[in-house]
Amino acid sequence: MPSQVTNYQCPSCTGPLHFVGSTGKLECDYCGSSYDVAEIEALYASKEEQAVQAQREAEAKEEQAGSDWDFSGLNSDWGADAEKMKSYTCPSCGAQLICDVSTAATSCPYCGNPTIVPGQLSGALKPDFVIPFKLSKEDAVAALKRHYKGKFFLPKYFVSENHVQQIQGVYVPFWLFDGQAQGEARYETTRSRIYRTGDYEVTETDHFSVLRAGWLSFEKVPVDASSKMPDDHMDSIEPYDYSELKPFSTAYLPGFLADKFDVTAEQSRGRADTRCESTLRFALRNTVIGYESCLTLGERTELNRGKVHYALMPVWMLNTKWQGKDFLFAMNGQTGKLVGDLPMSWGKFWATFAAIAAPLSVLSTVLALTFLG
Amino acid sequence: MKKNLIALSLILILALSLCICAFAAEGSVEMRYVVDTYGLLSFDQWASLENRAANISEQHGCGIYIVTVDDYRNYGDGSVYDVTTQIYHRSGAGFGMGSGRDGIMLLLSMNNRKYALFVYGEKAEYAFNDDGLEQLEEVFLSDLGNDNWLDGFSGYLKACDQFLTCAEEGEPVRDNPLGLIAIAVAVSCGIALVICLILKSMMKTVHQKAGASEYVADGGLHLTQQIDQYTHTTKTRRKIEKNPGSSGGSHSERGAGGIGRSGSF
Repeated sequence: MPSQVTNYQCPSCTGPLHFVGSTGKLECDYCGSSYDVAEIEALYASKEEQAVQAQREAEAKEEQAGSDWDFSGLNSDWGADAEKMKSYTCPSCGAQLICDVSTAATSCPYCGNPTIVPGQLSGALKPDFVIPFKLSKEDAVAALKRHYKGKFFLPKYFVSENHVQQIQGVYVPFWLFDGQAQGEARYETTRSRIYRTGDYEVTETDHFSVLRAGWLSFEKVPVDASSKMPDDHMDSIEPYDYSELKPFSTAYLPGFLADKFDVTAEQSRGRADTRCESTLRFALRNTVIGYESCLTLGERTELNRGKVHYALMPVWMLNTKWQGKDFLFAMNGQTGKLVGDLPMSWGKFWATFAAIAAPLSVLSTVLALTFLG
Repeated sequence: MKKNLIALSLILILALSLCICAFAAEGSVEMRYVVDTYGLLSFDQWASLENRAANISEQHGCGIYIVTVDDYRNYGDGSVYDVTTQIYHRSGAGFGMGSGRDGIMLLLSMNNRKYALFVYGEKAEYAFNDDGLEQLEEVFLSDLGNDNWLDGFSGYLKACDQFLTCAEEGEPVRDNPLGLIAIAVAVSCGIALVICLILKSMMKTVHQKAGASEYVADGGLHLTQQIDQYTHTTKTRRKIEKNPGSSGGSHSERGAGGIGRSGSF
């Protein structure tokens, strides 16, 4: 159980502070003051220590005080669920809240205050890097509207009837793998020439044995470390601009959800390995040029695995529901790339097919009969 | 040149007459419709074809002729089609039936493997128009291309009979547009489907990534070995099909009061 919940409050008015991507500062909603991340971090480092001590003392007092009520019927055994849950107290309104063990930052459902559950991101679990949100909720909504545009087969009522049910900025945990892939591949290639001799057409084919060997270095290949996040959505909003990677600070988190990893680096390694190996195979194959055919006879790859980094990446998750079906969209909170599968109107599909095929058939028939008939 | 042609014409008439007489002496059939001066057919084959050609011609009132020569240039001036028209119109040869001298003549020039079809007369041209002639030559050209003379000539006579019968029934053989329309519709549907599938693919934007090319560092691929070794050569030979439709350059002809086609076999 975490000893304390961090809630960054404005030093001027004690209102909640939010990280604002566009300015890169923590801003107060109430008095409009803004603070650098480093400034707030320094202020809260000392505050946190004091608060931890105070809470411990309060808990000890509570234990000593006892109670007149009979609590013997209450069951404090959470069983297997205890491992998955975490409880904390909102520092703003005092509400007792329970959250998932992988939740590192969230907001209080009673007062809306953004809070961070410190135990989740400390010690060995602390991320190395974070890419702060650059785009706001409004940007995400605008991107979703743009996503609908030009989609010819989108059902007419999908846009008008459906409303975004939830928009949430989430810092998604990622493992970033450094490493090197090296290997070799053998190919059989051919090059042909055709000529005519008498009544015969002769095809002469030269066969070659081709070998390619080489290596590729990879830097920070991302694999999402949260089982809650669909892998294909997270893959599709790549890449992130790593030049904006910053050393991790909790000061970037207020105002957004943050998950801690629940898929270990060892469990994620397979996906990074596969991506690196297939990239090397593809790169080697691309060097075999000047031939008409190329058959891969064999490939061998090996990986020199390097450093693994733990980072939080900004993602806007948008949920909608239409005709009882959930539609999930994800937007890269840094670059604005938005993905999400859309429903199909098969009526529109076949109407479009008919609208193209019918006049084209008439035109091509007339042309065919005129020029070939 | 003119003297030369007159001399050659006389040679042809003489040759034809000699053939007619020779065959007439051997059997009781008169050579009028199948004039095999090159000698592609045995007597029995020739007699059988001559009888069939005579029957079909008389039945429909339109002469069906087959003429084989060594080289068409020995019998007239111009292209193989021109020479065929000249032979057809040669006075005294007696080609064509009825007052309109209706008839169709197939001429084979064996030394250069060229052929020509010539159709003359209103009735004949109604039965064998350009579309009909194109379909007619498809019946016999592959057999002739493979030196299968009897089958080729039999096919020609049978097809002429059918064409003339159809014409008499008021439904002459013409190009069937249904095939062309079916192809045009199928191609149009194919194009429409491709466009629709491209638009449909835009609805799906979520895909799992298989590669990591965006994260390649240090200037990309570093090749440590690059060997391209020649091993051997294989050779395949394919006999070029004698397809007059494509390689022979078969085409429609007009002139000498009639229509026709010519090409190679």
